[in-house]
Amino acid sequence: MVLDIGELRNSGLLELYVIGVLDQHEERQVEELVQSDPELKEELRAIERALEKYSRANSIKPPVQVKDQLMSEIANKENQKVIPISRSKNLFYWKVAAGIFLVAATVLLTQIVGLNKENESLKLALTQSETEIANLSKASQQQKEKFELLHDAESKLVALQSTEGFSQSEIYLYSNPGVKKNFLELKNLPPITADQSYQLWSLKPGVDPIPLDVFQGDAALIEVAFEEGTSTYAITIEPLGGRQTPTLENLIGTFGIG
Amino acid sequence: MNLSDTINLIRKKNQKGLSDLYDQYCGALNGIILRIVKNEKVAEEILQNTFLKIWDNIDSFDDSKGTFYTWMARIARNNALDVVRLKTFVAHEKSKEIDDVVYNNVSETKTSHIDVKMVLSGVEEKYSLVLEHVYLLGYNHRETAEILDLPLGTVKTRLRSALVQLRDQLKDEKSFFISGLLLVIWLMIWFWI
Repeated sequence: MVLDIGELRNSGLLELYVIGVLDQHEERQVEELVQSDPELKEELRAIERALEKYSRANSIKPPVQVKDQLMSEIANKENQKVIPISRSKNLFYWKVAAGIFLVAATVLLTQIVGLNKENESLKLALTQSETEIANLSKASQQQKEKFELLHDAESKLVALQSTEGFSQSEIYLYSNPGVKKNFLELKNLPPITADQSYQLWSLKPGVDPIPLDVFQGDAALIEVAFEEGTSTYAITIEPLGGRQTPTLENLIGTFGIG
Repeated sequence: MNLSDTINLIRKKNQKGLSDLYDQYCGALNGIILRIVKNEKVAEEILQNTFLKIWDNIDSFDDSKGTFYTWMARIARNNALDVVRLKTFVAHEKSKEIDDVVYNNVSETKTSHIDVKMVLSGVEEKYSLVLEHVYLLGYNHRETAEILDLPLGTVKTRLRSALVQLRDQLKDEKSFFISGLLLVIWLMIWFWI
């Protein structure tokens, strides 16, 4: 429904619009028309001014306490808006503290973890050391025993009779028929390759050579097998791990027991 | 302090702005409210709420749509009408269970010495009556037509006439003021020369 502007002016609709009595649809209509026509806008303003004057002329002063209540309520409202900020200030400090705490905690935890690891590896090292010590003391015990045996009256010392080509070799056999123990002192061995070993043999008359200890020659003094009735002990170079029958070409030397 | 300064203060949430606005307009708005609700205690509460609403919603005032006073008056008027409608509704609900006597008491609120008379001269009474009903008492044009036993069209045109006469008054006052001002300026120039 399009209203003629002249009609609108005379209809009293503008007055009703200003008072606020029209429904939403009517209001929008009036607004559209007013926006498009500056004269109408001026008309509207004039009506507004007149109505303001009218209502001011009909003022009724309210009691004084209304203003006091109003202003104190406004003050409260605005104060409440401030408190969250200070609360958030406190929160900010708490956040900072929490942050520092977390950082410190992380650092400490890292330290603790690190220290634990160290502790573990130290424990391990300690265990290993202890094992080593045990081994060493065992070894030294063995050495002691050997030493005693070697110096036993019953012990026989036989030097290696080296074969041709192994004249540099120097090995001593300590044999004790009483306790039935043999020791070899490996003073100078001929060199061997990584895929070879030294092997001790027991030679008895009328019997094939009996394979005894296989060794690499790492230690200076080793205990070896005591074969009852051996007339001659022999050492050869064999393939790694030894053989059942000696490689006679590799005979380093012999020990005559007699 | 002019109105636009006051409005700016309120926009900046300066409480003095609202205090000044209250001083200027509390009477006018209270007049509208009190004539609608007809109860002083209720009117006080509504007046307070009106200014709180103005404070909270200052940013929604659009000066291209109308004057600041119109905006305030609408808030006051709507607040008052809401209360009246609510009370009427409650009264109706209650009356379904309770006596007519009680109903009558509830709907007839205290009418303390409220001056409902038109204070503005220069407007014919038949027009001012319509204006009073629509603007001060809170009835819409249809209700006013019913109360005054007039056709709806007549209500509207009389409303128009009332405003025209009011504005003429305003014009007269304005021109009186302006001519007075001109006289003073003329006199000043005269004495200075």
